[in-house]
Amino acid sequence: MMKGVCLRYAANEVEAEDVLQEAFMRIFRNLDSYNGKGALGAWVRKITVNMALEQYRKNKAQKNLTLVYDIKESNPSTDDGAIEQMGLEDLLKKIQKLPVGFRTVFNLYAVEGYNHNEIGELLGISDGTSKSQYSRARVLLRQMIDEEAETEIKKMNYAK
Amino acid sequence: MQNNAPGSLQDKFKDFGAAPTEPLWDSIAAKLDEDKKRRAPFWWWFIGSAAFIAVIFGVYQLGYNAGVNKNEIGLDKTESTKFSDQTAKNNLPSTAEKSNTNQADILVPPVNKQETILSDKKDVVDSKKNNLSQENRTENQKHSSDISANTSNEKDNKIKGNDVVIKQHLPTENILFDNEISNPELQKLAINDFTSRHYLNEDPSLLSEHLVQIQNPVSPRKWEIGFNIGTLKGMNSSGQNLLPDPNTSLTTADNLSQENTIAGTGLQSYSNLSESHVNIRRPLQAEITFSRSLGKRWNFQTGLGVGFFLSKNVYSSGNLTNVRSRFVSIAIPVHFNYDLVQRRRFSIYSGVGVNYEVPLFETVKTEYSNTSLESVNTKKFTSGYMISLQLNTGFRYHINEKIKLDFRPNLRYYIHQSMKGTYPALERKVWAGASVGLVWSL
Repeated sequence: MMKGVCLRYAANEVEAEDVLQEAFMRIFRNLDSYNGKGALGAWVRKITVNMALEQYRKNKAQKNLTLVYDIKESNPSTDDGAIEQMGLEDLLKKIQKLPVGFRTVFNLYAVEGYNHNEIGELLGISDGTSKSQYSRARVLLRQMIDEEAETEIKKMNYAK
Repeated sequence: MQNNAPGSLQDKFKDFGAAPTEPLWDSIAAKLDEDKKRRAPFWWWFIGSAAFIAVIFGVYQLGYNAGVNKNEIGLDKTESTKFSDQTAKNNLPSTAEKSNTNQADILVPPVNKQETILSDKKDVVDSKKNNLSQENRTENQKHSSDISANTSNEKDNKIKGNDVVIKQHLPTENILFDNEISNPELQKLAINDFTSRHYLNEDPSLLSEHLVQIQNPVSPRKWEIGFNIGTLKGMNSSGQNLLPDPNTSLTTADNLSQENTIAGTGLQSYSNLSESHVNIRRPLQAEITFSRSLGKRWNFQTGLGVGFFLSKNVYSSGNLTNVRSRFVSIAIPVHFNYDLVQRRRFSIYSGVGVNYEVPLFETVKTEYSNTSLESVNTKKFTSGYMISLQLNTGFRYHINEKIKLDFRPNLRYYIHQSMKGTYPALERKVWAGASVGLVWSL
């Protein structure tokens, strides 16, 4: 479960294991602070998510660069609901390809269940930015699905 | 919270997981071992400081006792010599008895000890005086009693204003001169001369200024103001570094393709920061303290502290030259200290207290080697605070009556933290440190 969380927030497996290692270390060091009232799984999961967010903040503190991602003007042909219909492995690969900010907001909103106000507080951004990044993340995912479908069609045509 | 409906992504990813690889477990085990090794030096440092104070105290105490015993033995020796021929005749306390008294005195704190010594001498002298008076009455009643009265009055006049303690020793000289000089006038002169020469010059510890100090070894001043500067260091490595630990965060394998995927987020991957090291400067804390004594040993202390936490990440490759971070906070301490040892020249205390810490601001400065561009990002904090419990062990050297040098090793345990921001070292647990400063009695 912990690695699953890390994989969603990281760009690849190696980065995920870095976060996972830090999360494990924090859990081991703070086991005495677990009061046993809540579910251990939820406690572990929260620490793992916090660790992933800490990596995000460290990144942000180190690099104060602001680049604009070029999103295609046209709307993807894939329906928005297709994201929820995808297989987990396939969806995970696409989430990992998202820019880290989009990926973090998407995970926090769609998977962890935070609202945009909470995400804004967690990441130090406005709720408007959170909404915008979540929306763009979904558009990017649909574009990826489109591109994948086009590639599949091309392969099929070559095969014919 | 929302999106918890069946079929939602939250529901789909609920039990999603993967097994960590074998090398990860090895790496975690190695880091846990490293943790244990890291903690040890800090404990040793703290214990070492406490031991240092104990040794200094022990050496001082030994020297102090030796000095006191020397003076005491000197006086007793003088008395013993003077009374050696009188002892048997006058049935005075034997040397063995006096020796026992001296040994018992060593266990008495020096402040009371001086008083005890003087008090003992008074008793001995009174005893001698009584015995002698009785004997004199039988042998040479009239002559002796007259001389005793006269010499006593003379001595009272001579030393009036110095201290009553000196007066209590004088009858012993009376006995000496009474036996050796028969002429009463010469006897008076000899006694006066001996008294002023011996007690006031050759034994300066009996001068009135010293006696006054003995009566007040610790100034009973109510208020004190102090200034100290010190450092603190985290004893658990997790989250203590101001910037990411290069051994963990920056070991991600190069993946230059990720550099493009960060667009729109203002972030880059770790990929181009493969070689770096963190140069953490020790955190500094400056504090102005106000304290008030609560009785003879207890002391309440508060004040205002400012903390500066500086660090620098140096990258030997990639675009970044270095990243500097500066974190400034203010703190209000509320401590209660108890003087374990009080001496005229020093005191040792121990205390417990609470610190309330609020962040002021954080600055992150990034320098790029390839563009000579310097980017500065200043973020002000508006909310959040930290509360920590603090244990103090301190040593104070009294430079003079009003100024004291204070050295204080301390240990902090953070019990609550709610600061928000990009600062990655907000998570603290156990910190150890020390401060040195001056304290003025008002």
